[in-house]
Amino acid sequence: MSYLPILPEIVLTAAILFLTLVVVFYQGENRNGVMMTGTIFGLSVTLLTLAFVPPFAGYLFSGMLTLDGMAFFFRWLFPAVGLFVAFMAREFLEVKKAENPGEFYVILLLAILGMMLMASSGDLITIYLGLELTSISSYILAGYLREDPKSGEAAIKYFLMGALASGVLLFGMSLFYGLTGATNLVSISGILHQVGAPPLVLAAMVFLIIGLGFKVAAVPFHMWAPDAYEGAPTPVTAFFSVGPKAAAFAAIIRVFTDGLSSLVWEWSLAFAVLALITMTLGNLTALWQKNVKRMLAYSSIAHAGYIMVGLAAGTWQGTVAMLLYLLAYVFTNLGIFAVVTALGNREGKDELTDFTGLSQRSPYLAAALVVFFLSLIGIPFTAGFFGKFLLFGAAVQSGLVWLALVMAVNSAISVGYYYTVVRNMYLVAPKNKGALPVAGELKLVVTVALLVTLILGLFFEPVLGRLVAFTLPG
Amino acid sequence: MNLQLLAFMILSLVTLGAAFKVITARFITHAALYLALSFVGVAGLFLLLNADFLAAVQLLVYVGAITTMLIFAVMLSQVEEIRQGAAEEGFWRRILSARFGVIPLAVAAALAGVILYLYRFANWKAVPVAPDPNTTRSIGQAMFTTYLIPFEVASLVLLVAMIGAIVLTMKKEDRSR
Repeated sequence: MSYLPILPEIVLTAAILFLTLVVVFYQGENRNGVMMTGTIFGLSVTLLTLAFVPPFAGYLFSGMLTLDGMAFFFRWLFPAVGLFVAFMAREFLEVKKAENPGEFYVILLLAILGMMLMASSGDLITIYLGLELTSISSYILAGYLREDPKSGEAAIKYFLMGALASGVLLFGMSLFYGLTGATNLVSISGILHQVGAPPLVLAAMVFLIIGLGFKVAAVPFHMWAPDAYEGAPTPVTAFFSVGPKAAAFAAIIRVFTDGLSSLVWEWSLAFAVLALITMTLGNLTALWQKNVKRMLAYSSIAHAGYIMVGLAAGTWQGTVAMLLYLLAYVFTNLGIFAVVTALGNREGKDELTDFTGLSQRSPYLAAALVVFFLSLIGIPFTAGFFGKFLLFGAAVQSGLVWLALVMAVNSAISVGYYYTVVRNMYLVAPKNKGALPVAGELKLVVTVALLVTLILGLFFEPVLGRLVAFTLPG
Repeated sequence: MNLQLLAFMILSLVTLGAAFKVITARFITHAALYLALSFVGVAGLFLLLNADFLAAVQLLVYVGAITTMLIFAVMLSQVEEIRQGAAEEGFWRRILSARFGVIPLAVAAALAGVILYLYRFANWKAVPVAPDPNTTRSIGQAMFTTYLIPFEVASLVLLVAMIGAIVLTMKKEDRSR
């Protein structure tokens, strides 16, 4: 048994344990900055290891891990997300006077490790453990601002709903174990191909869809999301809207395309219905929001709906489209939240009216935000366009023309609430005058996110080519 | 009726009855004690399945450690409502109210009905296996071979829970800066 293929995870774990000790023993003043540097370093080394470990494809540790193209994609994506969030967190923790800024980074890294594990697991047990590692870290991060009652509310709501979802998910998994005698996804798939689709298998599948649906905040399992997103510290909201969500999608792809491949007709239908109501309700509710974090929560619910169109397609083209869409969505959304963090650090309320006159106070951030919104809407030459385009194509190929049309209509609806922000920035006189001071690392995050959004939009073909090569069946 | 089935029935009744009392008990300390009883019932079920090691762990960890800790937490808690229990409300009035009684009961009963119906006609894969004379050894071996990765990750889950509990509850002056 070789440990070399999981060296990146081992490096990350070592970094986590080391940083835990640093938090305890480092007595200096600048704990926050030291921990941020350590986190950035740990994640960078993880990414470097990932780049230099010889490529490996196959099953590891008695089938507990599956390392393939998709696993590689997510194991690369999640530490990158961690880098962004760590950069966003430092000034925020300082401004909000968080009591224990050091531990924030340790918990963030543990969540990222859990997400990497979820994406590369080949067994229900590892999927569940990765999910719990991510979820428990997320509950703690949501309630990190102990002085802020909203943060506590976010944590407790997320925790109760998340615990319920985990229970439902576990129940479904236990049913699959009872029915097939296996927890390994490949074995389950083999046995299910023989037994077909008796009622209890379908019931177990519904439990899995509900449990994982909670985690991606699909309507009607989304009610925790707006409160959790609004109350959580802004960098954590940024993390929630991309990290655990993308990881839950990775788990969904694993469970349904690897394990339940014989039931593709049944689950693609279920996801088509979920996608329809999720994107429609998310977009319509977002129109009425006054708080920018709440609006972005509904926007991210709507985007989960778009991504599920790839599942509804039920083909590998759908999976490729999902991955590319996730890539575009993750970096675009991180950019948006960097701007929201920069503004919130000074204004403190995260209301839509805070954005008034941002084009004069910080022309760069305002312009970047417009590009990010264009990407989320799916305008050509931004990353979001090609994601939507591929999802659209996958849906049409699978005969889901109606779903593709609903997606197009929804993109049009979403222009409404993004435009509110743009109008406030460019056409409304500023409430607070004077240039907006922005921390250097937030500018860096915005710039990198902007570059990724534009480069992916202009030169998406090589990326797509690699993704296709990764995920091509067989 | 054979003896094993009888034992299963009694243990299940104890487990379920205690679990029911956990959510209906007025005082949270009582609820914690019922929870312990429910865990004891589960330990008995493990014994019936010839899983002696699991039964012992269940008793030691769940009954011994977790319940004790829960009671300690209640004792140390400052919130009067938690220690004293919620104001008494008529049992039947609660059951008959739509929000707390009828609707949740109907949903739960429907779910239970559907699941029992499906269970009845399912083709369960599990086959009885011969009892393992040395379960501890088998569990230890499985844990460090097949289940190595889950075992390690479980320890990280515990680590994050521990750090989180400290971060979310530790008072400001506890830490020398």
